[in-house]
Amino acid sequence: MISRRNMLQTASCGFGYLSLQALLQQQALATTTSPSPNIGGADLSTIHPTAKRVIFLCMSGGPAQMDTFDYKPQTGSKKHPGSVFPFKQRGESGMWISELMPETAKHADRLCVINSMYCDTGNHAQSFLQLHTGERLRKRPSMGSWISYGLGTENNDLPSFVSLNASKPSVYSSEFLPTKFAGTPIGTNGEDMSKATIRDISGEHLPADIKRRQLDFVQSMNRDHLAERPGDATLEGVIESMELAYRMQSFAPELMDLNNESEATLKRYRVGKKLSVGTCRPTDFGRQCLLARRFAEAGVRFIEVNHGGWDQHKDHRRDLQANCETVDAPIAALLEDLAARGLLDDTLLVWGGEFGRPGLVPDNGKDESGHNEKGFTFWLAGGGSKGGYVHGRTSETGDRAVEDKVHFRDLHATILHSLGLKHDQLTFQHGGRRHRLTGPEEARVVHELFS
Amino acid sequence: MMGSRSNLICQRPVGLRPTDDAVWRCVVVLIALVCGHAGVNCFGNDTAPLFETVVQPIFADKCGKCHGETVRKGDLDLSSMAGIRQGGESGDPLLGESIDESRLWEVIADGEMPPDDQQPLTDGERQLISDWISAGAHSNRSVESTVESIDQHDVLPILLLRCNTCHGPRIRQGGVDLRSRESMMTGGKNGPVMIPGDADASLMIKRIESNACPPSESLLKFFVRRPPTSEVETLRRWIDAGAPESTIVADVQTDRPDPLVTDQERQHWSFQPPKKSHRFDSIDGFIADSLHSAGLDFEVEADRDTLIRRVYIDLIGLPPSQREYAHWRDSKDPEWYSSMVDQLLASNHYGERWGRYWLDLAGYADSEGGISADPIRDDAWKYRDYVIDAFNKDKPYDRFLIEQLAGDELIDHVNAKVITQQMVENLTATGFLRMGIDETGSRTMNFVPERLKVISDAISVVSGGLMGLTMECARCHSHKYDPIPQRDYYRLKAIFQGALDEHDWDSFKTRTLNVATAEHRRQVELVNPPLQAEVKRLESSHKKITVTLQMQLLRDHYPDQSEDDNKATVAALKTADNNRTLKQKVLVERLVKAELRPDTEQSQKVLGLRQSLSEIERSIDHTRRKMAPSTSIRALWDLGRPSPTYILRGGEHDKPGAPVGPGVPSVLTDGKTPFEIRAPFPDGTPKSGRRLALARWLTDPNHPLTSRVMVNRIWFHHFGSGLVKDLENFGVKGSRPTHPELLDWMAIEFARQGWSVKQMHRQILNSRTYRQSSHVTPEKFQLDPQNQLLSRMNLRRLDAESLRDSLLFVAGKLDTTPGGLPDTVSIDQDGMVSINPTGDGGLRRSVYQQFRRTEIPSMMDTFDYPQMGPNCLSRNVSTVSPQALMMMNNGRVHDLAVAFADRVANKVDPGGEVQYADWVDTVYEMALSRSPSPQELSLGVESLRQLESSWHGNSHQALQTYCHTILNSASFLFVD
Repeated sequence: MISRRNMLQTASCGFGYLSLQALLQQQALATTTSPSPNIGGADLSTIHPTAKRVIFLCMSGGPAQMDTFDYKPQTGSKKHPGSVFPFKQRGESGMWISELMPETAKHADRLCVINSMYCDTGNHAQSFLQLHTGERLRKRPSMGSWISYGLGTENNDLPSFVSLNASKPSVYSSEFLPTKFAGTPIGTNGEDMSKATIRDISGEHLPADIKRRQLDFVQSMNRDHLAERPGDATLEGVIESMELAYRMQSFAPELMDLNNESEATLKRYRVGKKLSVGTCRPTDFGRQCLLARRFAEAGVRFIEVNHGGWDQHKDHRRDLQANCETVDAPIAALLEDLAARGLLDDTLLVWGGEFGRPGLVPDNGKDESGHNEKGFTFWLAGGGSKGGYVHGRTSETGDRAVEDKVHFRDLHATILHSLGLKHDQLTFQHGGRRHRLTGPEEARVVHELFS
Repeated sequence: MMGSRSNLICQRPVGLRPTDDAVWRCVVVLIALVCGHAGVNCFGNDTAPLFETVVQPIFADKCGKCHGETVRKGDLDLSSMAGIRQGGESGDPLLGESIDESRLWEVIADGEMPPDDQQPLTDGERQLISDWISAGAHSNRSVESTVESIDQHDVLPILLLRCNTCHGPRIRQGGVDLRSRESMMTGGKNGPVMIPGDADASLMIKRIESNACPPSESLLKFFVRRPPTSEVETLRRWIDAGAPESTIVADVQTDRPDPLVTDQERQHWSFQPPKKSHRFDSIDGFIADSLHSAGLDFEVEADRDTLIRRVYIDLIGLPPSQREYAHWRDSKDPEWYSSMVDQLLASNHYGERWGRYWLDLAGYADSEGGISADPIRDDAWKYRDYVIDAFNKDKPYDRFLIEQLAGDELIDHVNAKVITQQMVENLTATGFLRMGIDETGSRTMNFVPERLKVISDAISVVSGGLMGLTMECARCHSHKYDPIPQRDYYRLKAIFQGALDEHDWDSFKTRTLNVATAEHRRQVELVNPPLQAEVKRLESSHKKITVTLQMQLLRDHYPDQSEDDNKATVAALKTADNNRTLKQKVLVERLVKAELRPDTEQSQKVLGLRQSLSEIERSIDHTRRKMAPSTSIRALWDLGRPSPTYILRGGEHDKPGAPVGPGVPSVLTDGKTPFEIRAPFPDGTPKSGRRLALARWLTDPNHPLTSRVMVNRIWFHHFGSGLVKDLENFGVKGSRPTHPELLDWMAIEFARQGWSVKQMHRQILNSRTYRQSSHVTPEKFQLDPQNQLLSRMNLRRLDAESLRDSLLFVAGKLDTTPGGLPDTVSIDQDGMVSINPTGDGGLRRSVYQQFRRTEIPSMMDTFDYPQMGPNCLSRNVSTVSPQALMMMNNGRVHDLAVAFADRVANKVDPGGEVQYADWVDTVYEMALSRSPSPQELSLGVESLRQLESSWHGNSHQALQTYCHTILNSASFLFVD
């Protein structure tokens, strides 16, 4: 009889709910030779994972780092671009954080700030794609898909990768990786999240008891179908996918129903608070963060929480304030809850956008900002990252990263590393060559970010 | 550009080789002892290791096979110091100032070279090489060398990149043409722009250095960037040197052996022409032979019901109607099967099914794609109809390729007295090369790098789709696995240069041709004017009713809002989203909220207005469809003036290397026969004839890849797996054919039978191999787990199109009108993308939906509809829960199940007593084209009974649920 392992080894898009890791472990038991190259040759025993899942707080549009986490006071007598909002030192670490983020700032000692990010282009679409997939010109599997492919799911009732208030499909697509590793979108970009759900997660045309009866009947047909083709992996896959779908529809709506959350929790997360100012869209970011916590608790591997609106070209100050106000308290609540539940230990939070912005010059009247891909900020929290730590540095005017520079591919390699995956070994054979998230160029794991 | 390499003695662009030794007209100097690094004192250093005594033997032994004088992989010759100094195709110096900068040492130290499958260097050898480089890479030989040389090939690429738009083929600003030395000296209205020997006095230098050229206002208009200082330096040096011209000509295939590709590499199975096997003369012969060798035999023939459904879905993508099914089931004709095959091949639905596969390969899309915007391509559908028609007509595959690759070079339509339908078809066919993602219509994305991406997509479609070769790698460096040097990528690029010229680019506005037959034009004049007026009228009333609807919504939901505010809201909609005032934004948001309220909270008036709007929309669509199609064709045509093509080092648009001429991958030739090109219309419209030459070469019956790749695709679509598993990679790393002799036999048959695709279908469908049952025994699983030997038929899932089309068909909702304007898609409140019904209310076959890259219909998307980046050579087939969720819960799917149930109820004695068994029979016949087995019948009757009791005695609802269940079953989703 055909084994699932054979199936996965040979079919580029075979079914099977085994992750690469599980597969390799099986293989390691089965054989001492190196694993088949078309599924990568990860030697998983050598990295000790510090995280089991990732919550990616994706700040699309390019958050202004110099008014949030990269403090650039004026130096010398001549005014130069820098921070225009006041900063304060926070926590025991004395980390500088802007007054625009008062709630998040309370968790300063949990944050691991990278002030020396850089990337290749100041074009939104391309850089956004690169942030998500490692490649800016071609469509490639999303980071969440790579991670699902590498680690599989922890919860058989849910997809392993969800994308809340998802941007366009190209950033949560599994592309050439098997489709089951694609992100499941919940709500689309800029949409009010209050009503957003998983596509077709429920249907009104059948009462629950009939649904169950229907499933039993169709599965019995399918099993008969399978009986004439014993071991056929595709038909087994149909049967399993229907069971998962059925479980998902019973499980996911409940997971996404916030009615059993206390009033205080909803308030802490600012659920339902929808600011609509300039570029800041009323998306109910608080609900997204609360959902992220619930998905993390339920064992979803990669959760992206998207907030658009950081591209405040005009009205920089007003719109930035609105964006910060929108994300600040919900993120703080998320950090607080994850910590209280012990989940922060193995959940890596990643905050940042496709690039940053140049600073404004205080008092010169200008309130417009552009894009800056040469130096900007990301922060990590949890998942073994070093709290209260600031990595790298930009120049005096913040125009470029000058010390300990970290490229997107280094960030990707680092995230994979925290999950116990080697970036140069998590590969997939497609179109005649092996692909990896970090692309053909060498990526560096930033070990300094972990304690 | 050159400054950083001043330590190199010879500064010729890498890869440039004199066609004639006499052209080394640079001053030749004899240096007593030349060392690798100028500036390092190398005299009197007696103990330093020498190339000839220490390193040369190692290189000859371990590297010589690939990097010698006759074989020069990566354009690198390690057999002499001259070769080492020259370097390889990347243009990076091999030695550098120190060992840390030495590229040569880097690849050795990293273990990159020698490659894994070659004999490695020993530690001792590595040490010797390292010592030699560290000591200064000395040589004992006097080296004949050249002092710095510079020629037109150093400057022409710069001028093409920076100046060609205003001083080239399209525009000659100030009368100046910068495309040759001669034209520079002729200059324009202000006299010569270049004075050999005097850069300071040359107008072109003055204009560039003062930033007068390129002028600021032209930078974005013409998508050029100013040359960096290094490039200006190069221009200066060339002029100061007297603007020398070398006689180096573009590198093309000659009758001399090719140093970059060896005969041994040409031995790979797929690079050799197909070989006729005389062992068997049928598909079954070859298949049976390998089955028997494995101790297996064919599975029994599938039952008649299964064969009927299998062939229907396979050839036309739809199940048979109940009448058709009964006809074939009850046929007494012993030849019923082959008659059915012939009848289906003659159906126009055949082209809709098999044309779609080709559209995947071509990357057909009704939008331009790109990451930010995704504008609609108005006339792309004409190419879609061309393809469907070509398959229906069984256009010979060689002719089909020639038209698509070079239709513009077949007949000189410009000088034709009468425009024929054939000319129109030829031009429409060239849409094939215009299907990729093309962002160059954007106001910010039309620079040379973006144009190169469009070209690279076209090359990738041609090489991957038609030849099964992955050539993209060679855009930046020689292919790592396949013997495709970087040069060959650029030779292929040169073939397209006449039409896809990054320095002479057709914008969105200029890439359609207005060519039509007289009859077509007459139709347009006769039919369209009144219809256009009608559309105008409808659009204007649509606008009015929209305003009325918006006002009504505001009045209904905000009774306290003033009428002035209501009016201001509607007015604000005319202002772009990001330009609205705060008040306008608030007002608009209120309107949006009102619009999004569910229907149950809307007044009768609102619902009525919405109804009228959708009726008008349908009328508009209906009227448009009555018009004669426009006369414009989205085509690709040769301009007759290709710019020179240069290898781009590392694929970078501003790092030109050697000039190359048009040619095809050397590994697919004998390496000695020149690639012949002739202008197709010597007395007519100038055309390079390059693509026509490519097309003729590709369609030579002896071409090693063309026929093999196509028969493998046909095989793949019939069996769900190819004889060569990777449809897109016949190269060294691709999988070998499971049945090499059969593949070759079919490839030869294909060409022999006039490249008839339908003939190939007949061969396959009538074979015993195809007619096997898909049942499996445990024994077969053991011996042939992947079914590589075809010991049974594969089970296949319906693809997105046949699933949707079959659902509509079974529900009696399929509109089979062929061709014409694509059916638009829309996004509903939940982000669901769906295909809109046409004006007549029908839902047409999926091949006619508008393929907008950013708006893939949700259902199609869930079932692995491709995204086209740039094309799709084989679709993913996934089995995931979102598919199950969609089939179980999606409202539209359920609606179709309800419609299906109505059809069933109407067929089975409407009004009579309910007969569950008849229902079950009818449902099976209509949805699955078969009768239920006794067990299935009793399971069905039992289910209906239970469902009826769940539905409190409502038997019709029970039938609906039953029908919905059947549509969810693997029996419906798969073809046995």
